[in-house]
Amino acid sequence: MAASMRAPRLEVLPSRPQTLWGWPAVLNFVLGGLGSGWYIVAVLAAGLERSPGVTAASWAAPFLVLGGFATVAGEAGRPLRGPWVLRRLWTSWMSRELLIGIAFVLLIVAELVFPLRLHRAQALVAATLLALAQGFILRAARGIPAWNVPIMPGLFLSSALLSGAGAYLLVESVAGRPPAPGVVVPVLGLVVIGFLAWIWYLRGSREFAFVQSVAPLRQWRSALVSEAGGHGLPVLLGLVALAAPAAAAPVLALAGALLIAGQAHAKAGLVRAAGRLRPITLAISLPGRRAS
Amino acid sequence: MTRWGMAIDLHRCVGCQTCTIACKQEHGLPPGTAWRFVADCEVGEYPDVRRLFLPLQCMHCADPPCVPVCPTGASRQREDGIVWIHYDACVGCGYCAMACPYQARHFVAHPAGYFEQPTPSEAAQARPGRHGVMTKCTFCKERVDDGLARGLRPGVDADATPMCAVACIAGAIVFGDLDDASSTVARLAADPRAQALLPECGTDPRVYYLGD
Amino acid sequence: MKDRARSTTGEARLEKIPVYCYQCVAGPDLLKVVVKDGVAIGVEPNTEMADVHPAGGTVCVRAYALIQKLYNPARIRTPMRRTNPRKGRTEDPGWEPITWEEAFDLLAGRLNALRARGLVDEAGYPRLAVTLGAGGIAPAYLGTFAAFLAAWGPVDHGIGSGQGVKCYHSEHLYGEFWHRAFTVAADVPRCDFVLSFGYNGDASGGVTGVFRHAEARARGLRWIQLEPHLSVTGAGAAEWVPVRPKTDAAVLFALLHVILREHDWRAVCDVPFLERMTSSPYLVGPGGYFLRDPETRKPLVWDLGKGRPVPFDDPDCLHPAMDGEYIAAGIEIGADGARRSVSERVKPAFAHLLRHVAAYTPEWASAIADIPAETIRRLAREYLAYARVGATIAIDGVKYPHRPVAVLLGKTVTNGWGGYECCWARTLLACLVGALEVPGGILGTTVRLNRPSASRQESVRPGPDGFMAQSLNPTRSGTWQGAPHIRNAYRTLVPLAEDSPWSAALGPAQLPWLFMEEPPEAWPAPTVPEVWIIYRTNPAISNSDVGRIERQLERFPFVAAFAYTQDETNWYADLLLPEATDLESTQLYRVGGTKYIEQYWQHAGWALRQPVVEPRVDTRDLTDIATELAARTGILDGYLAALNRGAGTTVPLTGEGYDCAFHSPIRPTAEEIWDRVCRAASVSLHPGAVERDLQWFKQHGALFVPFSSQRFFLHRAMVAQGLRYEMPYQERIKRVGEELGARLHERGITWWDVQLDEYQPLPTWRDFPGIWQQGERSAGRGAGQFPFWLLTSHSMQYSCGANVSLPVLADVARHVKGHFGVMLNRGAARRLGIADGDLVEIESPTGRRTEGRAILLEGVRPDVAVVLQQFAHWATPFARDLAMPNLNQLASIELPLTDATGSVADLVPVAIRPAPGVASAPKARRRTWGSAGAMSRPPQMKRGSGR
Repeated sequence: MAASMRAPRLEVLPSRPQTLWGWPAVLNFVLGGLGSGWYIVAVLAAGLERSPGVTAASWAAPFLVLGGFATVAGEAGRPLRGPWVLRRLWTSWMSRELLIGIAFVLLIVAELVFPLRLHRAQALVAATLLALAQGFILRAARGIPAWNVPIMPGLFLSSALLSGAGAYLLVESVAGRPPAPGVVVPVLGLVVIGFLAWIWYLRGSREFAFVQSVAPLRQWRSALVSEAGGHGLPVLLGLVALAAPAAAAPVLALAGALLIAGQAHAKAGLVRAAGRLRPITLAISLPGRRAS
Repeated sequence: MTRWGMAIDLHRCVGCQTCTIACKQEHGLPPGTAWRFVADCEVGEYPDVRRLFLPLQCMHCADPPCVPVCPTGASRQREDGIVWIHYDACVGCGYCAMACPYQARHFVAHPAGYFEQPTPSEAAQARPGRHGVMTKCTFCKERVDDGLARGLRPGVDADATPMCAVACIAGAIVFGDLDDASSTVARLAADPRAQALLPECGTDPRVYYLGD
Repeated sequence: MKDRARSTTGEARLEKIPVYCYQCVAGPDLLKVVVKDGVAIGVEPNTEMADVHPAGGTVCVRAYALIQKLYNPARIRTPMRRTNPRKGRTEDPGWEPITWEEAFDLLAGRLNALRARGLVDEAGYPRLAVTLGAGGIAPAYLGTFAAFLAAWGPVDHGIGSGQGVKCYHSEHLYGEFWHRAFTVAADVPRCDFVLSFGYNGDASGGVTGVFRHAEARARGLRWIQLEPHLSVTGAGAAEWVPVRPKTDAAVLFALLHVILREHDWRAVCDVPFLERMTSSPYLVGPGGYFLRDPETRKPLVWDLGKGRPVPFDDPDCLHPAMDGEYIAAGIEIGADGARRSVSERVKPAFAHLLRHVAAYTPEWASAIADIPAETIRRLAREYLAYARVGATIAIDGVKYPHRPVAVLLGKTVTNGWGGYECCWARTLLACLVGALEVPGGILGTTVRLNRPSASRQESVRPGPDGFMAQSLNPTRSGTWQGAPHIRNAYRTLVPLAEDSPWSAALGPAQLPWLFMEEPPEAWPAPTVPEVWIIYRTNPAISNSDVGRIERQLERFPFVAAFAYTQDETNWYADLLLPEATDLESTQLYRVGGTKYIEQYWQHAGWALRQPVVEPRVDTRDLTDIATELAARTGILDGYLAALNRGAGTTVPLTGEGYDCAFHSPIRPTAEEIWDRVCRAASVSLHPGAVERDLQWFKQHGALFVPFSSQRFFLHRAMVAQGLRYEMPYQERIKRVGEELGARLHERGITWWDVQLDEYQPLPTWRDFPGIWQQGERSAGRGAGQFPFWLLTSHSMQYSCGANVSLPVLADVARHVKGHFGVMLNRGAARRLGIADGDLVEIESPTGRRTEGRAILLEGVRPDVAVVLQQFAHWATPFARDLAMPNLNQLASIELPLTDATGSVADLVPVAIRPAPGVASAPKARRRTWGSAGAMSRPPQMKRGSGR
């Protein structure tokens, strides 16, 4: 528009934090990512076969995912209308998230009853879609500059895989089945990719509103937890486990716990600290500088 | 085809909040909630400062981000462009508020009045169906629809025009049919000074601001 | 028109009842109250009046809060008597509910006792005092109480609640003196350029002001706002010039300098206007008085054609000298009629002016006002360019000069020291280009001191020396009223206050509070009134020096307060009478024509206020109360006679062709009274008008007749009577000042000497900010310890509405910067370690302190702090939770700060620092909406209460 071309767009109303999505929403995203990611990692680690690790994930994932749904439903104003969330599958990622989540749970149940490779593959796809759907939910939030970025679904998938890997490492190690290097090495690769994705996200846009929103996530304290604690340290521990197989179980368990905590922290930061409403800008001119 | 829209002249607005209180009254809004208000904005540094008043509300976007994200279909858009919320269908998840770039959606968890007990006027205006769901400016669609049913012209006849435009003491808010080339709002929307908020969001708002 | 409708379902009964809103003087505005099944649920503009009302029938934000005002649970619900004889902030009044019968017994008993002992006390002051809220507002809600007071006899109306400080005081007095302009407005619809010195019309000009300004901006009006902080009005201006507080006169003088000394004034000024419509050519003698013809006593001008002096009204004098020096003979008439023969070199008044402004260069003003000299020069050039000297415009087919430029003055600029200088310079700037009382220029909108109050045009009557007649309070020996008749002594001390029913409020209304505590020498010590009745006023918050007010209130023996809620003043009352709010009583009020501020309409008439719902609490219509009190105090006859005269209602009940008067001593109900007023008012509008009764007005709301735009401007009345504006030379002011000084000195009164300095024929710059800083020095505090000026500014949401107890207004006002804290320049605050939202302490040189949350802005001068309105409530429900500071907590009532008109200005030098003991304050105080609890709550004594 003519006005936009004449005058610069100045921020007239600053950004402010969103207040509607709190810890229940964070928990939904954390648990959804954890449940789906754990299942994916467990199934992939087992080569789509049945394994104790898959069984553990199969029993845990539905509780995690449904627990997330239940928690976030409690945050809604009319939780009893929860099922109506399925009404807009063709437009809303929130509808799709719920449908996929239910499908994921049903497929796992089916796999537990009929342990078919097909069911595992289907559940694997559903888990992937669930992680992506949660990312797409934020991606579609045009009012939140820190969420409304193309990388968000990928970031959520990566986060789900990392936290899932963490759960896998933790549970398997505690259960006395520390993962073999053939699993550990790809997991470490995943962590590196996840780290790069996170850095890419934080520094991928120079849009003022975005930079302003993610600023808290770039502060050293947040970086210490998410980047050093959630990525760097687990990689180090993984390498230690590879170098000293005798100590692998406790070391990998710790690495797993750190991965889970790191991703939980990152998602909490995304939703809470970076969840700021878009500032309002306007094409207006400023008065010229006066001699006074 | 009718396409309701609004033009707000920032050179006229004085930030008096008459539209704010008139809207609150018209819709019986609870304390702390304003479907529209006038932001008191300041840009620049002393002494080169500019203070301006920016009325904010739902933009009734042609491409409203709030509608597709709604998981229950409560957020809707009418043929005439009015974006509204079907309260009985809303789960109150707040997703639409995250999708709206204009900070225009509001959530009231529990009924509350300005005093310990509802006043008679608050009781008469109470809308329990609006608690626990998302709410926002409706372009006073009830006034528009009732007015049309009575043969009135929205934007011309007060009884068929959104209350903010009726109440505005500076003549800053003009409502009408953007598709009616003879309407004041269409003329103002076509003014070179007219601009939409946050065009980068691709929402194609139906509320135009006349600025510099 | 009253609408009645039933919904399609037939369930709800919906009515729209027309009433008026007069919650500020920039009214009344017309609205409808929407009533559903007997419950008022909303307010809407009266769009039926859109063609009559200048702002299309709209009402401002305050009117919408009337619904909450009606249903506020914290209202006083029944008459109440104080049971605790001790009065004080920490003394719970111990309110005891009583019946109206008991309340009338109590009040009438007091009044009758007072009557029995004499209406005036031993010191000469009325035993009964009545204080009404903000100037022009109370009469619109007062019913016929004014008629009761008129029948009563001597009443002290001069105990102030902020008058003189919170008003355009110098403008009121000098404006009315110079051009019958109690309030001065720009003719905005025809104006192209406004220099506004702090005039905040977009917050205080009512819907008419706001609408007109908006229309004008849309068509290209250039508005320059000179003020220390960027106000709501400044926001809409083309340019903000952040002038140092109280230095406006220097800038105005410099504008005069640029026009008169840096331009060829003969080329840029409206010379014919100056020659014919002002006293510019009048010769001034060596004694400073006009040189006069010894026989006729008429002032002389130098006829350039004849080369000799002639009387100013010599029709053959085509070219009076404006400049130069001439040897002429005549007489000067000084103070007390002293004649002095003169035969020597004299100059025209205009020549004196040219010399007078020579020193006031832009560079000089720049150093004082902190404005670049070039800015002042540019503004002067723009003023001249926009003035279009010589242009004309047709109003209703009649040709007028068109001068689309105006200088407007805001509060603090136009009151207190410097107010006279600013008003003089502003009026003179208009005269220089012929922009006074002509289309596009500045015009008065009402008269309050002269009569008739309903017509400025008719108030223009010929007086001496070719000027309008003035009714100044006498100062000549033998006629001066040396004994103050009320406690603010306006007849004695302030000649310009004149002596109309309004004068009491325009005298030094703050002085009674000072004098009651610190009686001056050679002066009858002001007694406290034996009965004090207050209505829609809260001086314990709204007057300067709130601590002093409270100390005096503790001494008042009997206070009867019409009370909406518990508040800080009625905390000291003995009797609370629940107030019928705006939507609960009946009154017919004059609307349109020309009234205060920017009210000049093309229609004039009457509007009705009527109850919209059944009474909510045990209240009475004030008209019924007035009648009852009149009957119980034995003055019913006088009361009815006052009603017949039109006391309070402004319309006599008898007139040409109608007689609605009371002829027998009855006790009429409010409805009966207002029915007669309605009938009289309707037929008084114009000859042959149809009589409309109360029922008609209840149905239709208002009745109007056209009001010609020509009546906005005095120009034709002045020309028709051959009159001149008393500008630029203030001979009369000089004489009056000398006489007043002589009278006071004859009585041994010297404490008013500093005020006598104001009576200058050509006002000079004084260090006006220094007058306030003097207090700093006298308090023994070093210069620079109080580097901020604490100022106030107007809030449209709150001003004058007696509505601080309404949470809905706080809910919308929070969107406007300044609510609820103290506005500071961001950079200045940063240097003090103050962050946005921090609690700061504000201290005055007298050691008074208060606190408020910092609101950091760029649009504030670094040496200025601004708090809106007047808050710091401690008793008023809800308001007491707002934690807002109040300038009145820090401002002193002191004679050195009082100007010759009895006014002071709202500014205090202060120090600002982070509040002690508050390391990191929460960003904003959390307000609880449901806090309007029990009305009688012992208040907490807070640090920094300002007492």
